[in-house]
Amino acid sequence: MKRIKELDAYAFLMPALFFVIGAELLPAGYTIYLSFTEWNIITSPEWTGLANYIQVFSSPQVLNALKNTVLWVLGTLGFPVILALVLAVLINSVKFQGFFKTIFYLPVTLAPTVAGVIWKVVYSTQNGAVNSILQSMGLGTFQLLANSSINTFLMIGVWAWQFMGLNLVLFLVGLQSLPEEPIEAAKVDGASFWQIFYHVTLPLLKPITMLVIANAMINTTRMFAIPWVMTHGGPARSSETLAISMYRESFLLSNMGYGSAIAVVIAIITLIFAWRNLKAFEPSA
Amino acid sequence: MSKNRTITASVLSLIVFGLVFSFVFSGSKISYAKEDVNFYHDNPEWQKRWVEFGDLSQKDIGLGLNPTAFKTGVYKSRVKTDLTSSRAPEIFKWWFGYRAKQLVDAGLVADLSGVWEEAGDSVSPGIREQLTIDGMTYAVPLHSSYWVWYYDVDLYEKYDMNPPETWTEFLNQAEFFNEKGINVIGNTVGQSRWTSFIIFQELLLHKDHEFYKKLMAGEAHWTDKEVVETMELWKSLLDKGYFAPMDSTYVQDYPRMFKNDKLAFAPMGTWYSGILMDRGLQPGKDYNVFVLPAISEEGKGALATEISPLMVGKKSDNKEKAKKWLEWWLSDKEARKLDLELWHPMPWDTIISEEAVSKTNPEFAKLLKEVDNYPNKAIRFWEATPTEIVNHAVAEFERMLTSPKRWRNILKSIENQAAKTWPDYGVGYEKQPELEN
Repeated sequence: MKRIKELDAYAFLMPALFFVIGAELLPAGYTIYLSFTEWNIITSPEWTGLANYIQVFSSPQVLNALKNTVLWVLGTLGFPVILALVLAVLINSVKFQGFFKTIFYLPVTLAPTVAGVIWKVVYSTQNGAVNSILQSMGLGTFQLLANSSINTFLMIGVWAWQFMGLNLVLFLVGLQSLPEEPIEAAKVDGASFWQIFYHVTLPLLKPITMLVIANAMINTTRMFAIPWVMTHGGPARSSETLAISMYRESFLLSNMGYGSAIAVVIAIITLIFAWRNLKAFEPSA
Repeated sequence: MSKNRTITASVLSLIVFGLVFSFVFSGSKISYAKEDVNFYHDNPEWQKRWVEFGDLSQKDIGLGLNPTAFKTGVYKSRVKTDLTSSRAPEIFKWWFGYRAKQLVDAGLVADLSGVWEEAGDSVSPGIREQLTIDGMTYAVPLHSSYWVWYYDVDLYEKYDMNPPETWTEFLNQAEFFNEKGINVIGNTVGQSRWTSFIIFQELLLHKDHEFYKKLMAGEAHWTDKEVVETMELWKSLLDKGYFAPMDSTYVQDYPRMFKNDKLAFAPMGTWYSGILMDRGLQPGKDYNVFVLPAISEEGKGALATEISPLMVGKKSDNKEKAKKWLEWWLSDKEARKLDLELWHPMPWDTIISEEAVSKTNPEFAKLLKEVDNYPNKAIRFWEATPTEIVNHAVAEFERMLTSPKRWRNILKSIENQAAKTWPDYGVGYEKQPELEN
């Protein structure tokens, strides 16, 4: 009887196992294998050892993409997370919460590629809204996305515009599910709004904050859609992220081995972030 | 009860397993009517033209065409992947020169000598030689284009000007348009990384065509005096503010700018006429072309050429049908006529008469007559030198368009790439450490 029950459990596990093995572990294993080879698709892969990894960490273009990816991670922690928290606290104490939630959440319903196309037009020199406003103020025309000093920041702004609403809703849910007793007790003790926020609300919000931060870090480490649609990683590869470098090497230039090595680096960074955040969720001893 | 649940779960698992693995191992072979020839290309904007050609061939020889358009980004990888399998495309568009050599060397494309023997008389002399590698003719032409400068006819009429015949005239006209607040040159970063080589190609070729050919063949260096002078010239044009905003694109923005008299020139292959016509511009009325005047004595008679080849996958199922379709494409009078009217203003065949070209576009007919005046033809940059150098250089040239003061670093970087690449092609190439003054 016990044995049948065990079989039962394994049988129910099988569909998920097939998916995980067939669609995740096998491709991941093959990617890791390819990352140690040189392969141009039309000939057989040739084993090259660590050559691709050495190239990844010595290539100025990939190091620049790594820098941009770090900027994306920091930028998305800075704007969509902190701003969402501040707005959630403000909205939590006003009427018409539904209206504000809808307004801020609306961009989340767009695909990132669509958001990228919209903002590409907004930033364009060809009758784009931003340049039209700047022109009407007599400030001239600015080639915003072609300026490698600022284009990454402008695109982080697009991401913030799109996903702040999601974080805001998550923080609102967190705020509304907080126990009232500690906050009431702090009020009775004469704590100010900021003291209550910093010493009571924020620590109680830790699980939601960690979830939002984990999402932000993991999603932006793999950032592809918005910079690809808006600049193709240019000009001159200046706004490339690691995900774009991987795509460019693998699918545009057919350097599958080198592209796979970049993919493995992205996966390792993402796993570190995910592991770090999962650890934070573990109950303390 | 438990037994039933186990059986249900096992059946479900098998279904899922079957679905996953049939999807993974079947690939994504594109289905098409058996009687049609399947065809891959990377120009979604040209899809409707291929459909028209398929309708015409169906009517003429009972063999239709099933065109599939891919985005350029994934096109090369998709074709390469399919060529190694039984999913190999029957006909596909590719690039000639070094880009074709890779496929020919790997034995992935069919020998089309038979097609040329049947229908080669219809093709202008000199084209077959450019589509032959190590004695094997691997392609037929989709188009054969020359690299020219498109100009806004309205602007020239408005200011009572003629296209420039000397380099000095070109510079004077550029300065004139710039003073009028008109974008002088349409060559920008836009959305297409490849276009960044155009100005470099045009300036170097029309400055010294022999040196251009040497550089492309690995017989000269990216740090040589001729390249240095070309980059200084390019920088001076950028510094004067002659270029259109760098985020504008040649497919969407330049046609609109030509239409609104906001752009004077756009250097591009003669195939660009098809894109301008798609956007509602009329040849002769809205735009015309000229060949960039020689910048120095050594640049006289120079003209960049490009052939876009149609090839056949060696492992494809219907090679014979594909060859039959290509014979029709090369030699059928109606097909050639449709190509001229719909698409390519510069015929590469012996079927279309000069009078017919004059009717569709007098300016191109004039250019066709004058092509013999440019004996120093050279392959355009994209296909003229190994792809490893081209791919590196186009990214560096993008940097030139946005940060021209960094031109020295750009040349050093391309020189490094050339030194790394040429030995793989059996060319002795020692890196030059410094730029020549």
